[in-house]
Amino acid sequence: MAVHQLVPHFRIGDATAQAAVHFQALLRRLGHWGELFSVSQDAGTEALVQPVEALRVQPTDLVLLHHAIGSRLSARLLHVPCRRGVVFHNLSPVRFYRGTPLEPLLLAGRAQLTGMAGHVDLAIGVSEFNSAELRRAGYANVHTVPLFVEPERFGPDRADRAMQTRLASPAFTGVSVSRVVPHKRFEDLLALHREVLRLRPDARLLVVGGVDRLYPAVRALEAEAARTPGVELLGRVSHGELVAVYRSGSVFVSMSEHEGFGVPLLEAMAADVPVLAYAAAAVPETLGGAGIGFDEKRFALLAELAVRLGTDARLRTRVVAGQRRRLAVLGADHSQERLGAALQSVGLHRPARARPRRRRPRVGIIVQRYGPGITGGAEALAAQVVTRLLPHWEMRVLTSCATDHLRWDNTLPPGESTVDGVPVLRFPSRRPRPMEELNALSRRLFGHSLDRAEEENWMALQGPLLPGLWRHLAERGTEYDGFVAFTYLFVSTAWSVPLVGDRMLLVPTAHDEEALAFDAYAEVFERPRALLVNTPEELELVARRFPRHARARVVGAGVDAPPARGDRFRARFELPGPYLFYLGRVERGKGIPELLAAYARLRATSPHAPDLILAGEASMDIQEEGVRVLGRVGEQEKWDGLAGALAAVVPSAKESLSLLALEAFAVGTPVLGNAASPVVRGHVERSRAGMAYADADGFVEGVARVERERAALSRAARRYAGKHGWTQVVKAYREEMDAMTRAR
Amino acid sequence: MKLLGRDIDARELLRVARERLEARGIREDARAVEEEPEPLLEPLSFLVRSLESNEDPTVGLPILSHRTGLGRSVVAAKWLFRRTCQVFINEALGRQRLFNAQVRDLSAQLAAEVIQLRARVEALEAEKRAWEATPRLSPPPRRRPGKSRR
Repeated sequence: MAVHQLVPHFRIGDATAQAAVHFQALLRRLGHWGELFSVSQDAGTEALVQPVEALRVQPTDLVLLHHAIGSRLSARLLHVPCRRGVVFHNLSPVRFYRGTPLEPLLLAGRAQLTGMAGHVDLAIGVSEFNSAELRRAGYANVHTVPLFVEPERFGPDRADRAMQTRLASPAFTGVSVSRVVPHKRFEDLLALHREVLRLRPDARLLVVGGVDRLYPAVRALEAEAARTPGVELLGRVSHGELVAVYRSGSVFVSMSEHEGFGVPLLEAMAADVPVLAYAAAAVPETLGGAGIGFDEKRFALLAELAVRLGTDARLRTRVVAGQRRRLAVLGADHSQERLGAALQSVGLHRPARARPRRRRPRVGIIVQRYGPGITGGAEALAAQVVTRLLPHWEMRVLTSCATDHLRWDNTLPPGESTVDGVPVLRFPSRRPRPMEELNALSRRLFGHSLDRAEEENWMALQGPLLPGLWRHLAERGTEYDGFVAFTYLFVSTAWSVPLVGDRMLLVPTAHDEEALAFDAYAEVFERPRALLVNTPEELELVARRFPRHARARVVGAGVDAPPARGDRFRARFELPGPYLFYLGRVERGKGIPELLAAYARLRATSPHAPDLILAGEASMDIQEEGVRVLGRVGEQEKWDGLAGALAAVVPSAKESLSLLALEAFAVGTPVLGNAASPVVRGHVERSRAGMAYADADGFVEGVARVERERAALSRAARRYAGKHGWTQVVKAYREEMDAMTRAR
Repeated sequence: MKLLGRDIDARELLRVARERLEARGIREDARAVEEEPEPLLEPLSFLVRSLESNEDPTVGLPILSHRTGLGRSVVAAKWLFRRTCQVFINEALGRQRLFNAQVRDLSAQLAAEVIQLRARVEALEAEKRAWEATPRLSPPPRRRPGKSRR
């Protein structure tokens, strides 16, 4: 059974969109899968959110409508043939919008609220205040699930540096975050600011949020703000800029006369700004005794209070400490517990697992691609793990229909099949990965601090989107004793971990890449039963990024090399002289351009430089002198090529295992590796069977050293490879799976 | 004015603030805040009323624009369009006006029937509850089956 969510308009940065994304994360943790649907949405969110017309349900599913404005979704909800629910965020009071285009929408929203009451199985208020309204409107099964923020996203390290520098000032600064619309009472903020100016003539008022110029009164206020000293309307800002604004504030002020919850209050708390808020609607409940609430708008008195709160260090410290305590209570875990109880009331709970006594554990292997001819580090590792553990585990591979690693096109048929005696269950990808769009989004997002919706949107675009896999895990996950998932990066793993994390061993294959900075990946590393990492360097990286990661063990992969003959390779490809050998995808992301530049330097300095052989699928046009691109080579050719090489070259800076290095060592071939990769550097340093180069000069020096000392390096390589056998690896996987199944 | 907050001494904070105001010679009243409970709308009646007020498609919505500066000229253009082209608007939307009126009548009829039926169901349910709650005499003892005297 799935729990889908409907949002009238999905716009990143809006409270309802954020709530839906947060709910989705909580639902996964509760073992439920579901997707997001909307009537309209921001461009570029199509991977994360689908048009409501695409909604298909099964009778046991639950559809939740986020209700905050009149929309055609309420009519849709009334007729979905499954369980139905409403998440009520409240509606802005009609009295502020009389005679405006919003009035009919607000009235319709109120009528729809009452109209849905007798037709839903579950009603959720995001505050007790909203729940009370739900009961008044005739709803029966009402639960309160508060919204939450992720405090780490508002830490000092998340503030946009440029904005922080621009706003840096010793002046008293009031901060407010809300759209400039009638019920938010921007005029009261201005009135308060004018009083503050009497006390602090250099005071500032920073307001974040769109200005709705549809209302003449708002346009007049905007003009008034422009005339008032120190007022800055910043409009809509990025998440990093938002954090910078909060953190530039002496006090956060809310004059709003209606809040169904008040997410900015929590955001201000997370950014350690003391809160001064008019105690309207759900505000006192959200504050929960933290910050300062007030029940009358006496501006001169409030100005005195605001200045004192912003400048009296003792008072500020005490208030901020109280706010932190409040945030600790009102966190994701609290909301998860409440949401779990709400779902249980309609019979949605994680199915209980029977404990079958089986001779061999039944294990699901989750990997983004699987099948003959599919190359790729993690996919190859998964295939080898499956082959080696086949005698010990009853396995089923859960994967996509893709063979192509760029678009995830559904080339293989969905459903059950068998690959080398192993049952494989394939799920089609909902949409192909649009590489250009993903790259453009990556350029825009990487290196910036983001909110959860932005990160999840990027992850969805990255794919592969396998709704069938998540439904399978949510509904039939209990049929498995355990899971092993490969590659943290793809949603095939990342969104599966929360669903079955209590029975999962994760092989993250993590390396230092920009996406690892996303907080949304934290639970991928924290929720599995154990992490099986490839190298000590990978473990160090994971521990640095996610200090609360699950128990981790360095396991890696084994390498058993068949007998190999370099002379056969030389004869086959007519290579009379020595050569350097690279095996893998020939593409920019693998560091090929940098390798070619270093090799050009080598050719320039040494007239007898060895050739450079690139074996693997090429997506670059390479014409450099001395370089040969062979395309894909066979398995035996690979080993022969490695055995005959002067050295294997590992140019990629982003490696989590570097199977190429291990395979080279296994046939006694030294490695020249990119020093920018801690993993490759670690292999080279521990084995003493090669060199790590930092630049072209280092590369030239490395080749010279390999030419001088190849025999000694080769002996060291074989010694190192002897420690990385499949026997140790299989033992580690079995021990971890046994420990996990025994622990339950 | 009341201050809410667990981490503050509200009385003391207010006292100091008031003293400072007095020292500055400021007296002030609180701004009145309009508190009005939001209406609970019965959807059927609301929708029928809403249909009535929106049934004529030849009557335009209020002309508004979020644009500023030169963009405001859009408002003037819309006004001019309506003034000069209303006769064509009426022509183009004549049939739609008839259709809307029929939808309104149909909706009003159906809504009235549903409201009446709901009331009837409620009355019947109340009657049933009352009947179930009423103590009743125990049924007379059944006569033992015996041989016919005939």
